Amino acid sequence: MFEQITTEKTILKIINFNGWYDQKQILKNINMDMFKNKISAIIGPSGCGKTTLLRSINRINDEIPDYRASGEIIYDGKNIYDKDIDITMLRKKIGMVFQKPVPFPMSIYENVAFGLKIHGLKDKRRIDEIVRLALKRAALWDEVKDELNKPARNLSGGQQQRLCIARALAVDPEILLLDEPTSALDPIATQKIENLIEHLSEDYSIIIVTHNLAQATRISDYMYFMYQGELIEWGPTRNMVRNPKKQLTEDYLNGRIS
Amino acid sequence: MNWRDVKDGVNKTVIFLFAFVGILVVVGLFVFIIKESIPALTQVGKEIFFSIYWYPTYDPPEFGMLAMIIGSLILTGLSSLFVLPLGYIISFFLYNYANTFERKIIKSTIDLLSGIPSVIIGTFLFFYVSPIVMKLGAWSPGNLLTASIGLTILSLPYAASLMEESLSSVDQSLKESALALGASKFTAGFKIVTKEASSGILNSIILTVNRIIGETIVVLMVAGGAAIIPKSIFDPVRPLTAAIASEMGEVSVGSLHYSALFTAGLILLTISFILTLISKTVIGGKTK
Amino acid sequence: MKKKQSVDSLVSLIFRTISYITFFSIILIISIVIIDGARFFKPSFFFEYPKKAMTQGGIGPAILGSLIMIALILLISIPLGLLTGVFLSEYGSKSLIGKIIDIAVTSLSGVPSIVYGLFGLTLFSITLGFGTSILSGSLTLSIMTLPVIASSVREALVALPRELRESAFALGAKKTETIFKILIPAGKKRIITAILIGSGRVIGETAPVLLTGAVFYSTKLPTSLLDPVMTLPTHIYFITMSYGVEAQWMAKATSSFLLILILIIYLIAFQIRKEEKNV
Repeated sequence: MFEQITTEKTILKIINFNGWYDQKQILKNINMDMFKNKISAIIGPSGCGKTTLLRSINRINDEIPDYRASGEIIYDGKNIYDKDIDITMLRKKIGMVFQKPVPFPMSIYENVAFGLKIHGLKDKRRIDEIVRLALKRAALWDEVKDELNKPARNLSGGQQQRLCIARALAVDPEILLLDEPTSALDPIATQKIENLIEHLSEDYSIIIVTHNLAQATRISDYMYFMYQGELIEWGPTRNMVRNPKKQLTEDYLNGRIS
Repeated sequence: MNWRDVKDGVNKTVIFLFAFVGILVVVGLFVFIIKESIPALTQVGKEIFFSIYWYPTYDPPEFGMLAMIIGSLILTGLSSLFVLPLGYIISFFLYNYANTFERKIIKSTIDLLSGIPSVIIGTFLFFYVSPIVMKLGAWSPGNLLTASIGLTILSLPYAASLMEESLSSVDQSLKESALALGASKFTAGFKIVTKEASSGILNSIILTVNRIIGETIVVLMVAGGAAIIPKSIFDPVRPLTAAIASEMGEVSVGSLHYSALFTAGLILLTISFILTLISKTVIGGKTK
Repeated sequence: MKKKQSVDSLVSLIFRTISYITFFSIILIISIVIIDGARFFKPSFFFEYPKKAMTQGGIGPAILGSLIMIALILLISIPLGLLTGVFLSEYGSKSLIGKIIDIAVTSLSGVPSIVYGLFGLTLFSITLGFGTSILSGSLTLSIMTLPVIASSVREALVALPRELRESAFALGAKKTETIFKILIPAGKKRIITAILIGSGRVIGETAPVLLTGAVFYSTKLPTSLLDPVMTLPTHIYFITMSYGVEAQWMAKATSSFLLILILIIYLIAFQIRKEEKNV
């Protein structure tokens, strides 16, 4: 089912994971490993459950009243679904960027500082420092450094999305979850973000959900192919592309199912 | 558990408590109004609902509210007869035939109309409309016709904008499919879209009627003072709302008259409640 | 082919004419009220007491009364309405208690104003002993305004994109932190519009105030919340119904002033709404 290059460190382990919306089962017995400082792309046709899986990793699905999950997701030695897990801390370590760029109704600076402030950081110089660093890491600093106090919604779509990335980076996560981060953007903005993602994987572990096969093959190190709630196959990208082991995988990669 | 969790919990409780006030108010409305109505209901009983003789200040007093109930119904009926078709016509026009400029101006003006207080409408009718109506043949400055005109003006924004919203919320492709088959805009709008939006339109009607029944000041000023059943549109009429408002100032607290007026209020409260519940079940009713 | 077009032309013509007539009638009414009253405007009108059976003087106390009432009403109904709207939007959509509060708020907006007057009379004036006073009147009108503000706030919040909330949660924010720091600021314009429109409505309310707060004529300005008050709408009502032809000018002038006030409030609200759409 998979090949692992043994020098790579597992950062996330998903074991026998199931998810239901009300009575409908969306995720069926998912088992997979994800690796540190790699870009892992979850791919599959719409409705296959990839976004649901992603949203289970930072438990943002807890906010959906009808969602139930069983199984384990092991991160940092613990099952994140354990009763005594501090969700706030979990979400600090696992950040998320959404498909739609959603700047908060405040200045650029305040957007990036938001996560820091709610987690209790008060030292203004530290905050300034981290904001600057985060914006640099998100490749946005040069474009906004003179306008930090202007409202964030004045930025273009692509800039807003990079702002959301900076915002997520500011709290210093280990893993970054990206849910179709470029599907609402034009090709040039998309290109910039793809470059950014590749750059970011040097410091962070990236898990990206995308329906854009070309994008997945371009930037990911590992691919995880899902179909109708099940994990069909996963492994290093170049192996999966050249030599898919399941027929279904090959059909999807060649556009015969979508 | 840490400080942030505590704060979150406290905030959540505060939010809930404030929101709960809404339920308290509803319960309070019924409790207090029923409480004050009980003397009249028990001591006067059936006469309230079946007698047309309302002479609360006579000796012995009579508390028949039937004339007022019928008055409310006739007034509401007549006004609805004016305002509902008018509201529909305007909403249909805005939906189907108006250009962007017309839509914006007319919609804004109607919204503006909804802000005009009933007392100003009442005054306007009193000074400017009533004389005209009297020239037409009315013998009393306060009469059914003038009041209906006032109620129409007052409730038009409700009818027109609610109906227009219902029509607009129907999927564009429905209308376009009809047009693509060669139907006229009128047929598409009337036979297809209106039908599709029928629950929304029904809801608009219910809410407009609710608004009309509950109106007090306009009828107080121009409907006339006699608690009789009107036989012509030039007769005065006294609906329940006006009776309460005009006589409340003259009763002594705790008297039977006082209690009878509360009974009138109870009737109104019950009717509005029923109408709102119907509206909520007809569709996930939207209200203004 | 031609037949269908002529149906449309005919209907369009008729409906258009009717709509235009309605439109111009509304403009006519507004104009008459404002203009026929505004000709009586002069400084003494706004600051003096009414004199000589409303044939002279001004409406100073009524203006003051209305302002005081509005301030109190907003003080009470904004927090109530805001938090109720927040509850309905963020906590209440699926639970039983949420549905009940939802029905309660909706029903409240349909209750006739005179019934609120009765309620205010028996609860605030009599049982709680506040009498005919600013306090009774404001409390009653606040309860009337509550559903208006609550449902608009709820609509404003529900319209915000889901991802806005989730971005905040994904950073580790708690629910109420998100509500007060992100959601309410994000919906600020709509909420302010709702409050303005609610104020516009309540400033013209007459019936409940007749029963709980207002007097014909007071000789001194209210000094405490327990004093009765003159308000603009009740003043108009009293003059029109109880005074003769010589007092009509005051009714017209007051109507004009009140209407102008309300129109200004509405125009500000419309402007804010327009700004929000252009963002």
